[in-house]
Amino acid sequence: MPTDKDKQPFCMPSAILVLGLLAVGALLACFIWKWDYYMVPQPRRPFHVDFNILRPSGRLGLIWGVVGAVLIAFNLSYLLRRFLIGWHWLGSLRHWLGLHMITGLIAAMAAILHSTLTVSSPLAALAFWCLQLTTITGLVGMIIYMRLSLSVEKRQIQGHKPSPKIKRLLQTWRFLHRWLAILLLTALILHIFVSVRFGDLWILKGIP
Amino acid sequence: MLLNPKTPLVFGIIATAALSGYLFVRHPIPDSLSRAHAQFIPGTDIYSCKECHTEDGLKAGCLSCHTEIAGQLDTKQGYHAFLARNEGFDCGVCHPEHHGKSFPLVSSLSWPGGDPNAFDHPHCLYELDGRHDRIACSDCHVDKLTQVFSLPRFSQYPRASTFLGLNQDCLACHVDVHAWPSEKACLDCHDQNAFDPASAFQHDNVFVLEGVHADINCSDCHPIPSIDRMEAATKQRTPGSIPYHKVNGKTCEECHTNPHHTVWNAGCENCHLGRDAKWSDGLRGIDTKSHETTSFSLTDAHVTVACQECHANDADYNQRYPDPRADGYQRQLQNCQGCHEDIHAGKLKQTCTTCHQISGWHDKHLLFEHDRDTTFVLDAVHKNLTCQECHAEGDLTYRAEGTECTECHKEQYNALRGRTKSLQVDPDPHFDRIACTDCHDMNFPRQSLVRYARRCADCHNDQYTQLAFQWARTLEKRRSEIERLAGKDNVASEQTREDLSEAAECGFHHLQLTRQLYDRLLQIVQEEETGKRTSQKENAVWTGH
Repeated sequence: MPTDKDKQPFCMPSAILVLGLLAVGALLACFIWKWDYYMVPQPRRPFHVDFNILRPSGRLGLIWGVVGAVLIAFNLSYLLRRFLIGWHWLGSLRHWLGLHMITGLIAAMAAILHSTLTVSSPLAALAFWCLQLTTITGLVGMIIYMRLSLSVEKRQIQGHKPSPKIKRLLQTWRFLHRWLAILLLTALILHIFVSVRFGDLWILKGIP
Repeated sequence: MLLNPKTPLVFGIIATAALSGYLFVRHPIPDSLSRAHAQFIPGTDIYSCKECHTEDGLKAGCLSCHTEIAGQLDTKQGYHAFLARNEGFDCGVCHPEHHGKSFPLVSSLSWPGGDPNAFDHPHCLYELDGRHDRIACSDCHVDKLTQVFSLPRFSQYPRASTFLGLNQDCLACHVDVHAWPSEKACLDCHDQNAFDPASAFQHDNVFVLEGVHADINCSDCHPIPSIDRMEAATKQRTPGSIPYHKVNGKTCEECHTNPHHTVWNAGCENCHLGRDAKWSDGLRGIDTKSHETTSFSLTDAHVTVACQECHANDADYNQRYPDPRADGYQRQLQNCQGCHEDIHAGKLKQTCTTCHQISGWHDKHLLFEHDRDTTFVLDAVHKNLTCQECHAEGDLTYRAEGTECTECHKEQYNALRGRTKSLQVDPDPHFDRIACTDCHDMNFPRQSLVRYARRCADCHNDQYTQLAFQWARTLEKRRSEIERLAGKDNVASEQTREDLSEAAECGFHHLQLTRQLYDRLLQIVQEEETGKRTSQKENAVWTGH
């Protein structure tokens, strides 16, 4: 059963928000710090001094990819928490939703750093763009939920029910977000598999 | 709801999985291959990956096509073989892929340090230094120096250029301007700073330049090369220097034409030294022993003769030292006339050496023997004569009147014939009836009257011995009378004296004629005596005595 906090209008937990903003800021700082590399055309990047670090299979680039994948995996654990609705000892759904949003945002940014703004592999591109679109839809969903939470509060005061328009909007968003998430998950798994199976040479041996 | 087949989400999941699977199978590559590889591996599916990413690794995949590299690894030559000695050697380290079609496979990433110009060629057998360290890569790695190859599997795509296959031998890049197979390594003379001058080259190490060799022009020994060679050499030498081209050799004969007609037993250096200023200094090496190599051995008097006596200094070489094999060559040891004038004017039939020897012409050196070398044997009578008594003084042809008695003794012969300058009578009875030697014994230079008398008796009888004595006394008596009269008052005229000599020569050869000559002379002398006295008396009268 939803707790009392879950019935309250959605509000990002402060700690998660602060940590999330710090993480996003750090990633943004890294992005700005290596701006000169990310602006180099792709064919010239192997000649850049930071190529071996920032390339997707580089020491830092690979970390971004691993971080993104881990965050995505953690992000999807929100679904598990929703499925295990009665496991209150895992924390409130509100916090899980906040982590879901923040980790999705950080994972998207980590994926941007991992991709170095260049996605040439179709499979990687699919995963990348699915992640970005999923994040965008997630942000849209967050806005919708925040508005919907306010309207629920009003409904509880005024005794109104959600309109069918809002229901359709939620259904459409949910469909799109889930569909993109599934596509992201599929593409991500294959991307990781291909990278490990065929790209182990470069990843493990540091060969560009 | 999630699993409801009627839900569009289910179809979305299926479509998503299908798209992902399709991309996984058909387009799994991270980025497109470079243009070079993409033309051979156009596919982007997962099976195309295995063209390079084989079960044995990426290197095996690369070498399956790049046989030229595999060849280097097999033969352990070249830079790739040098790199392969390091564990972890992999093609992708220097030639990264999947960076787009325009990405160059050979780039700055292909060299340690990232700067191709700083590549120090660690695999080379020698350290690149000097000018080699400054010139551009393309100055050496050009098509004309390396064989542009085609990969066997892709022969329709010949390589436009390559860094491979450049031999480390100097001549692989440099034209051998010396144009002859070098006996030395290039670096024995040249360094890597400049081809010219050759810093390590010392001419004296190859050929000592001294004497006249130190003053001649380089091109006198190093002939001007062909035009092609000249052009190639010009590019590699500083202006004004000569192209050090092939000399004919280091031995004298290889550069100099041997003017000698003699095949000397010793080499040129036995006489001619490098420090000599002129060839004629080599005469130091000529002595009697070395001269034996010629066809003319120097012995005896020839030893003391100055060289220029036979080999005139002012003549050219061929005249000074004529070729013995040439037609008309006469300087044989046996042919004195080849050098010496024949003072006998060729009148003597004998060869020079019949009479002369090399030790000298005259006196004790003379080998001449009259009996052996002439047709006239000097008997006891003629042996003590001086040469001039038979041969005219100054006549080196040594011509005589003849070998018969009558050819020299003409007065006696004429007397026999009854002929004198003043009288002509019948020949002596012995004329044409006996030989000279019937009366004259040639074993006695001064034959006595006794022996003559015996010869008379030999043909006639013993009375002739006494007759001979009587005739001799008579002739002597008359001669004495004439000489007495002629010499007493010194009245004998020149004619009288000649007639007296003529009568003496006539002698026994024609007794009748001799008596007539004496009688006539006596009469003349007596008449002269009488006339003289008369003249003296008349002169006395006229002078008052």
